[in-house]
Amino acid sequence: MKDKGKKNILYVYNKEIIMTASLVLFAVISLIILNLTRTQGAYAEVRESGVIVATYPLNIDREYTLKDGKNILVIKDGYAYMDYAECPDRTCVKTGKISKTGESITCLPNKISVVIRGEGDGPDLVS
Amino acid sequence: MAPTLFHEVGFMKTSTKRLTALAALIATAMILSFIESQIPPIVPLPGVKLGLANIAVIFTLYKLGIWQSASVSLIRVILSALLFGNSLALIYSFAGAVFSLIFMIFLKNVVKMHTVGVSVAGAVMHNAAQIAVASIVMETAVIIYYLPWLIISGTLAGIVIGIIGYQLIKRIKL
Repeated sequence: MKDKGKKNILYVYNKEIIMTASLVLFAVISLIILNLTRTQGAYAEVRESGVIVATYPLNIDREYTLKDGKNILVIKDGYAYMDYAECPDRTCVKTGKISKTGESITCLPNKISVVIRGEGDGPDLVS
Repeated sequence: MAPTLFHEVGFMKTSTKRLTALAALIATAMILSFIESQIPPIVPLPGVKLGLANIAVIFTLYKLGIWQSASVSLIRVILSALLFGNSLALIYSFAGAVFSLIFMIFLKNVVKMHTVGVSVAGAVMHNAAQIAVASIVMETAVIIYYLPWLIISGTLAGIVIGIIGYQLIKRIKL
């Protein structure tokens, strides 16, 4: 008759639980903080390979061709979305509509990033 | 048991049996990553993936050793990129694999964690490294907004991979 030595499962795996729990907690808290600091954006900042190539106001409905037709950005009703992209995965198109400051659409293969900025944000501010 | 031949392969002594096992594991990792690439992405975020190939890496790490798992992981990344991907994806994958390996080896040997914890750390670090490389390539810090989601998806994927890996390690004799 063997007593397994009453070790609580939480004790045996405490390292894993602490690590996983802190990761998830960090993620959840940062999501809450990031979402609380978001406001309706004023314009969309388009970067090619990190360099700002254009800023488009969100209140003017228009279609913009980026990178010689490889990506098409549509601004409509205060939202911006990538309507077309010539790249292997088209993650950027599937991202859908963005409109709040800090939200972004990125096309990694074509090195395009579209970020929503609010009024008076400096060029290198993350939010 | 049949006598095994020992070869000096660079810095590691390995038997023929172990060499063929490593080759089979690399092939398995490549197949797993190919299968994974065929599954349509459920979330439109860059870098969200199951990391099925990590099953082979974790298995090697617990069964064969540090250098062995490093070679499985890195060779798999290089070969997969040559066969299926493009050179841009290679940089992301390689960076992800290196960071993920460092943490997995540290957590397993120094902190002595169970496979599930090691796998979670590996998956999250893989995603975090990919984000870091992407921010450098795009020269903007904006991508950091994806990090919380990648942590969550990495944790979930890591748990699944860790459980599968643990069952394999327990049952397969090597």
